[in-house]
Amino acid sequence: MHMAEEHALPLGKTLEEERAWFEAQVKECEAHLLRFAYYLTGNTERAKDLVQEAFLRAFQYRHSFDHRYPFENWVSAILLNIHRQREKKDRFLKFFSAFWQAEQEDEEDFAEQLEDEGEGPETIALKRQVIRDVYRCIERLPAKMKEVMVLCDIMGYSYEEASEVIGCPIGTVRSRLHRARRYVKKALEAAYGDELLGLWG
Amino acid sequence: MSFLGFGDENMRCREVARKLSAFLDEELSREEYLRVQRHLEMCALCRKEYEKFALVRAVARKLGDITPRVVPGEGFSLERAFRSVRRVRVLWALVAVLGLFVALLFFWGWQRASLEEQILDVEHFAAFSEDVLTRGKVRVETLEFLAGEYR
Repeated sequence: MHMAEEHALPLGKTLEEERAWFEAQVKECEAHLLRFAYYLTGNTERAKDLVQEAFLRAFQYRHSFDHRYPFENWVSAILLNIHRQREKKDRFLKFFSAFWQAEQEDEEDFAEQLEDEGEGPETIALKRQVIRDVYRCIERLPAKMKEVMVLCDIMGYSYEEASEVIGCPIGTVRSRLHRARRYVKKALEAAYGDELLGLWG
Repeated sequence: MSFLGFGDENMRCREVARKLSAFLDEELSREEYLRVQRHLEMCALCRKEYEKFALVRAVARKLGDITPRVVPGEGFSLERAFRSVRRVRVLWALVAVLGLFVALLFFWGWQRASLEEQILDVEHFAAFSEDVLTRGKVRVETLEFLAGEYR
């Protein structure tokens, strides 16, 4: 990740200097956090909103940032907490709103962005379908398993980094990730049967 | 994979199955890693399971490589974020003031209605009392008339 010195908050400086420091950090990790938020929420607008709130809260609590750790991970942890709070609220609202589902639907089929690397149209179509299926499986995972799978598999975090972001021991990350992958594997087995292993090349 | 499991002297299939995910990420201790590796070399069924796990991880990684189009045109700015927060706060304050105004209006209306009811009650009572008194008077006159007749 990044060197600790780069992340050190200019303590004792003016508010303007702190702001400049913060915005420089934000610039570095904004795209990464947007992706993280997108895979958590499955919705572009909600992801943008989530990242915005995470940055605001991070700025509010900037003095509690421990610069020995990457800034990105710290904001990711804040983002995850906000997401969990919102999920709780959403569960409550879903209970009372029969029209919730209509709002939840998203617009983008990003599997279409998978590039053809000279494999032929059939193979690429099959790969896109597998990506869609895996994404749907991840979306339906229980929240805790989903968080770990998004962090470790999609975002490429190590177990240690994921445990920092989630705020749990490494052993818990390991077991949750194993269960999450097993869940997705079983769903794919049910969908593709014995052909599963030949799908990805 | 059998119930008891196939394996070397230290590791069985069931134990390996639990460690496949961590093995894939090389998040096992050196000793455990080598044991799982040895087992996979010998056991075709566990190897197949391992390949399925590897496929799931590979697809998820590919999913991560495809960046969804969520990067906004303009980057995050604290100034803009604060402005939007202020806007939301002002909106909520307006909603609160409006709510308070509506509540006061309801309270005022209810008080007024209750006062009118009280006034109506007074009028009703007065009419009733008058009626009773009149009827009482009639009854007394009747009694006097009857008494005269008797005399």
